[in-house]
Amino acid sequence: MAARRVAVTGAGVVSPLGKSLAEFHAALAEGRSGIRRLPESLTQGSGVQVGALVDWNPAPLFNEAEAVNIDRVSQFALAAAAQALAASRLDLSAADRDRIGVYWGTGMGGAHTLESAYKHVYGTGEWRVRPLTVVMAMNNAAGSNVAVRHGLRGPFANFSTACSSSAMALGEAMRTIVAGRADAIVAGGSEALLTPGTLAAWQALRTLAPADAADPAASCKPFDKRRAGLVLGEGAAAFVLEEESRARARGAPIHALLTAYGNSCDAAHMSRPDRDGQVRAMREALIEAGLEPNAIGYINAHGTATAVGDVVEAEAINVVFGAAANDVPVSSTKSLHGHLLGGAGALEFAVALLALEKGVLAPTAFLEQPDPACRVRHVPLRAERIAPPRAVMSNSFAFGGSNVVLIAERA
Amino acid sequence: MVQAESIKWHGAERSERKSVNYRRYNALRMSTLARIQDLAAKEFSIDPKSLDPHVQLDTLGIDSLSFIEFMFKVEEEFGVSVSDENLKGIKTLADLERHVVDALAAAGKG
Repeated sequence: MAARRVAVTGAGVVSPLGKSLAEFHAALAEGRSGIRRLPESLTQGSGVQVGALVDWNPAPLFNEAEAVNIDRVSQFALAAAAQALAASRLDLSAADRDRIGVYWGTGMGGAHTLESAYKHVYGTGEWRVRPLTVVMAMNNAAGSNVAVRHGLRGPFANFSTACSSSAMALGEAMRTIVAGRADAIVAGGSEALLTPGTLAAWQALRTLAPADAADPAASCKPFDKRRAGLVLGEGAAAFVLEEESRARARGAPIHALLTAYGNSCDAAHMSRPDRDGQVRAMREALIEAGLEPNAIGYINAHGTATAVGDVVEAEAINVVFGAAANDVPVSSTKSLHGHLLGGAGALEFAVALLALEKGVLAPTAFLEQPDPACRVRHVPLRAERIAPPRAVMSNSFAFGGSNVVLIAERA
Repeated sequence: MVQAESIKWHGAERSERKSVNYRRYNALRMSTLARIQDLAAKEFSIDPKSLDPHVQLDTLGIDSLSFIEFMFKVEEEFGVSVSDENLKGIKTLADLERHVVDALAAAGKG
């Protein structure tokens, strides 16, 4: 019996670059940035200047009560998951939903709910908090909302490993399907933590980019000598992952096969990335896919635009890819959509799929002065079009030292 | 003497307050129920017309968590607090209305 493989049959996106996969891909191809000056109501005394907000109105997807009873991070999740399921044309009413699960990733969960509860308690001195605070703020709420909404009773997991959370959700979902424990899994991640308190915490880390003086949209410059740090974003991406033979039998649209997942831990430092940890994750993924490095036609880098992170990742790519590192195009699209943290891995997997399916390589926007210490084959400034490659890689390297690498191949 | 006058004075005030309160109480009941129904219609996404104040809330598919969140919003709306003890006895919107009206009267908000 052939090994089970995993097809990607649907995708959904809620992002600073649009609220559908099509809008997101169009913005990437045009190199349009979703980074803006943040309103004073969000930044307050934090000192943060720019971010990548989703232009979000809960209606018409959520009624008046849902809009206030479901945290923003779960609203993003529900919206992205609904898009992915619709795109997959999976008929849930006829499916065995005991065999369909939800694997989700988020860094902070319901940050807005938690912050408003604390603000109320400490701000007013009145210890009267909404009864839904716990179930809105808990880290697994986003994924659970997706499961409840669609009656998906199969395996459930929620991953919270900072910036690799949703990439891990995809990878673990793949393994669960390969192991025969589920027929399909809605996998992805979401983040919505642009609150004054959370911004203050990030600002204290001294890792956020200030607004670019000439153009706030150009504030995030991965791999550029002028890079000044990351820009926080928010949003969600979801995918329907299905066992391949079932997907083919029902005539599902198959965007790609998710064939490999590397996972390692630096076990070195809470925030400083480690080249060898990243190397291990990339190598593990290549081995699982059974691919030589030169089979990879595009790498979506983690590329947060921090001084240290970009150099370490470029070094790791060079170690793994050797001579092929001169040829494999690498870009960091965080320059356009910001850093979605727990949602980043899933959103950037959607970037990698654009390269795989259409041969459109989304650029590292604003990369005018490549840092010689980040010696990779860049896709600077504007998108490139190539013949659709055989395979693509997406890197997600997190605080806490968690490294996740996904490889997708053409169906 | 002083003591008797004082008692009489208090008694008169009480009885007058009661008759005023009675009229206001009835008016209040009407508007309180309407406001509760309006809140419930929004919270549970139910057509207000189909919200019979005497129907058991659990038969409308309203679970205990949703009900507790709804109670929180009702308490916020009216500025009252319904005790855990009284909460247990509330099965319908009419029950809830009675407790809110009583709480308002007790708080002198009638």
